[in-house]
Amino acid sequence: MESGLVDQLDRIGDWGLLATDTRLIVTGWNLWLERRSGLTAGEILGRPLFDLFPELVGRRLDRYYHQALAGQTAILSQRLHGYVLPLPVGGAGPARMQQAARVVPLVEGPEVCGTLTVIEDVSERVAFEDELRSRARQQAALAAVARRALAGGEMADVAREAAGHIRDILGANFTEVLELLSDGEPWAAVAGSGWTEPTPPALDSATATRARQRFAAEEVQFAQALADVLGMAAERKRLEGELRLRVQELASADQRKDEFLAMLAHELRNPLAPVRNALQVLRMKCMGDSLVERMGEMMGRQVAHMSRLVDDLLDVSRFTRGKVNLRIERVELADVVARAVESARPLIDARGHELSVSVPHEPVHLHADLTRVIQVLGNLLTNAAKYTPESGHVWLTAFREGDEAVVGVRDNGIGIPAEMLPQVFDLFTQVARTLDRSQGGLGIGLTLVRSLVELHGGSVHAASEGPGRGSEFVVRLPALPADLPRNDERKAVTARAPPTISHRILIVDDNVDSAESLAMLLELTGHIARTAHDGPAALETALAFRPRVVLLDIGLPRMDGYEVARRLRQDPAYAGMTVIAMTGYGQEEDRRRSKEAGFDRHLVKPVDPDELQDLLLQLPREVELK
Amino acid sequence: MILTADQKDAVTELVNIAFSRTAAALSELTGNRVELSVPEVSAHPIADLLPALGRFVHGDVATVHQIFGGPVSGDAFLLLNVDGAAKLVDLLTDAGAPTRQMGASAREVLSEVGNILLNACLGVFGDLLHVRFTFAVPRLHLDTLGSMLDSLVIGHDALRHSLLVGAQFRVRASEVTGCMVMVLGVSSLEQFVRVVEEWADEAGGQAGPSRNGD
Repeated sequence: MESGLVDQLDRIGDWGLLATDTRLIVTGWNLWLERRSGLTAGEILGRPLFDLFPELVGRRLDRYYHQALAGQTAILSQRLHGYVLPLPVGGAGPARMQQAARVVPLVEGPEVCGTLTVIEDVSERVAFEDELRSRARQQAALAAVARRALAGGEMADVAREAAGHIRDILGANFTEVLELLSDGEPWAAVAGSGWTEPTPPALDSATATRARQRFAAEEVQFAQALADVLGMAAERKRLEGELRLRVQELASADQRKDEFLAMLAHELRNPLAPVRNALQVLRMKCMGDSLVERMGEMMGRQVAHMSRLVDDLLDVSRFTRGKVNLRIERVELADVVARAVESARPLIDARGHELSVSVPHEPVHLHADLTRVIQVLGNLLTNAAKYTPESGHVWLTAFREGDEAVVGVRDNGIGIPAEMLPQVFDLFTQVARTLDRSQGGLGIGLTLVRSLVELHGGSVHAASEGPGRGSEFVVRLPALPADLPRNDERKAVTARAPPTISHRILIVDDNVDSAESLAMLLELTGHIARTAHDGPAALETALAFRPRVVLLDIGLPRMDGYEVARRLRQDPAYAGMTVIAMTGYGQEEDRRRSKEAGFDRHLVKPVDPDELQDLLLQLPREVELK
Repeated sequence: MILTADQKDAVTELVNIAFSRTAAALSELTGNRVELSVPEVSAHPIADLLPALGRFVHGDVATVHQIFGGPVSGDAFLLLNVDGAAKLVDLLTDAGAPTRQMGASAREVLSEVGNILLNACLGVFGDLLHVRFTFAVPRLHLDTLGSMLDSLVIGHDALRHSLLVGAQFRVRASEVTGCMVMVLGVSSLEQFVRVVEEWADEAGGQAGPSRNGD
């Protein structure tokens, strides 16, 4: 009966069929099993199943047969059991066939009369599924390594993760896989970044061949893909490093440029002082000579112009280094406008422009640095004058708008092309022009205007309808509330009275021209002056000359000004002496240092002769020195 | 047919025996520690089964279906969400890369698991009722819950009732929840529940034969 059933089933499907009776004696063994096992039915039939395949008992599969005899079906999945009967794959070779099987009871009516084992060869399916799983793992590994590399992970970490995946997925260690890849470059890049895996030993061809045989083509592909990811990550790191270096270089270059500008401006100032002084001397000496007067005026203008250029340059460099301090006080808008107009008036008149000024009736007050705000408006007026062809028109309107003071400077000059409008305030930008070069500047003015206005918490805007249509600049600054009492502090302009006092003054400056020209100027105004050009000479001369006032340059060779001042102060004989610092540095920090060193006053070079005269006038009368 | 609290307890106790055998078999088979518990038990007419099942499964379900015959005949099912089924197979077989698809191998494993569980349950029930069930080979279906239930109703009279038993698998600190459903004629089910109650009462005093099983 069973073999009949087996024969019938044999015709239906491609499977192994093993039948037994209730004593588990084999009663059916189909062709499929004969072919796969190499055992004929003749050898198998009639023998106890567990004698033929004692493994079934060892692996505890016998219980399924007993279950079947009790009427229960058993399903044996390949994943959980691997196989039921040990059969080779393809009839030969070491690999074992993977099987899915069922052990079912054979029934005759209500009674179980035996068992039937149905075996399916699923080796191919298993191999396929394994490969699929392996691919999925490879993809996940590649994605993980790529993600870590993209996130900017350290090369050593990325490489370590890659090596881990290779180990888990290919079962190979790093050195074996390294040998596989035709170009070792991606890995070499990793080795250079601090990863501590030892360099692989030189692999001889025998080892190499063995390694190559172990890996399937798609496994090599996987390793290569990982290497590519690592290569890209290493390249990216390198580029990042280069970029950082470049940025640093640029930053230093920028800083050096700023320092250069500062030094340049500083150095350019030095020659101006003696020239100014000498000019003053000449004009005083040759008063009445109209030629000298005219020449003197012209030279004065040029020196003043150059002075302004250098001051602007110095300002800009201070701004870029963040070193500008404002001296905030309460100022009145109309006053600022008046002074700005005064400073730009010479140029406006020289170019024959008409100037219309409108200021509010009610005073408008600001918290601002007077000098700087004058500088801003002066700059705008000067620009308007410069960039308008002769006999043009410049309008300045100032008014309060809400809580802002608004000043607009408009001209009917050459205008600004639309594409340049956004850049007018940028450093060194200049609208191309055909004006006489003597009106030229450095392209700094508007940058200064913007920086100063913004420092005050205000804003400045440029507008123009295009070339030839004029320009307008509008400055807005925060204004103080309107209901404050009228400010009638107006500095009276006092005429310079001739000095009625004569002091002994020692001028110490290592710039000989500077010292001598100042000395000459002071003598012309009634003082007695001596010069010295370094520290020791200064002390010597002071001892002999007993000056009332010492004008002391800080930057002296051999012994600096601070040291000279300290020594002078140490000597009680000089108790009543006034020591004034002359230096190019006018910041709070520098003034503090002078005070600490014992200076009474601090003047910034180039020294304004009028300021110096005022100072000298304020000193008490000559005190009898011991 | 509504089960009383006592009846629910009794059925739970009985099913627990089957489930512990199942868990033991699965643990041995897979080398992983497997635990099976019964979160809840209820009874429903077939027409009301769908909403009740919604507490355990929904959408696409994997069903292992065992038809049993003998003095009492009916259908037994193990139902899991397809996702849950795939996860369970992965947990049991240490698959490594979890796959959303249920490949042929995974389906085989699920059939085996379902077979073990349903055989254990029917075995325990059979012992209790002193009934020898005959079993067909269980079949695995991947289908929507609705389609599965439709096939249940076809060809049977509408007076069938079902016993719904939650089944929570716990493997390697992960959980997969499904349910077992046994469908019988209503009188058969009533009789079954009564017998279970009696057994439970008896077992409360002494150890009954079915408790220890074979």
